[in-house]
Amino acid sequence: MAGAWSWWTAGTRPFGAVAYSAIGVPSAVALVVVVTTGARADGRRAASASFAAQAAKVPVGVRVAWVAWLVAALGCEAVALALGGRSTTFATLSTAVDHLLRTRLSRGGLVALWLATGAGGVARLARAARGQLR
Amino acid sequence: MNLDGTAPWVALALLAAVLDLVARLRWGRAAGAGAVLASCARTLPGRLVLACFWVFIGVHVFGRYTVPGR
Repeated sequence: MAGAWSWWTAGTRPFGAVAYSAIGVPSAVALVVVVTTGARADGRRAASASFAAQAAKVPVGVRVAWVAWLVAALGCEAVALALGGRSTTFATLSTAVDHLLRTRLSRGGLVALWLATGAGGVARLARAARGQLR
Repeated sequence: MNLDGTAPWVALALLAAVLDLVARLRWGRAAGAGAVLASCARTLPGRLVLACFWVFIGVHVFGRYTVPGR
């Protein structure tokens, strides 16, 4: 199902209504899950406690390293935007990713990766809301 | 294939992979990138921000892309 959806999405024309719908349907499903989980007080509290317990296990050094990485990524994006976005020395992240979207197969693979990331996040949230996050 | 301008992003992607691997090897699964994201997911607004970021990536990358050179 996810593979077929990814292949179909990869064949849609960018900036078209069909392309936006192909992205919009899984997006809507994910957002509805997040909102409905948050609407139930018990699920919201359990999810927050589960994520907080997991976050507390991360060493400070690792957090600092990821914050530094995020700052570096934001800095790269800012420099790339200041250079016009399509600089031959410093492209924006989306321009860099555009190089990977030349064929339908590569687009389909990346859409599948995007769907898997979202599905993984929703599954983690469901486990966290039941207090089963490890 | 012309990949001009992508080197910083390739370097950042490799750095992220190394960072995740080193953290998992040194401190176990609990220190992986997923656990770091859990810091952002502690509150409902944080979870909504993460979900909206994922939606933005989908729309921007797959709904509004332009293949270079075309």
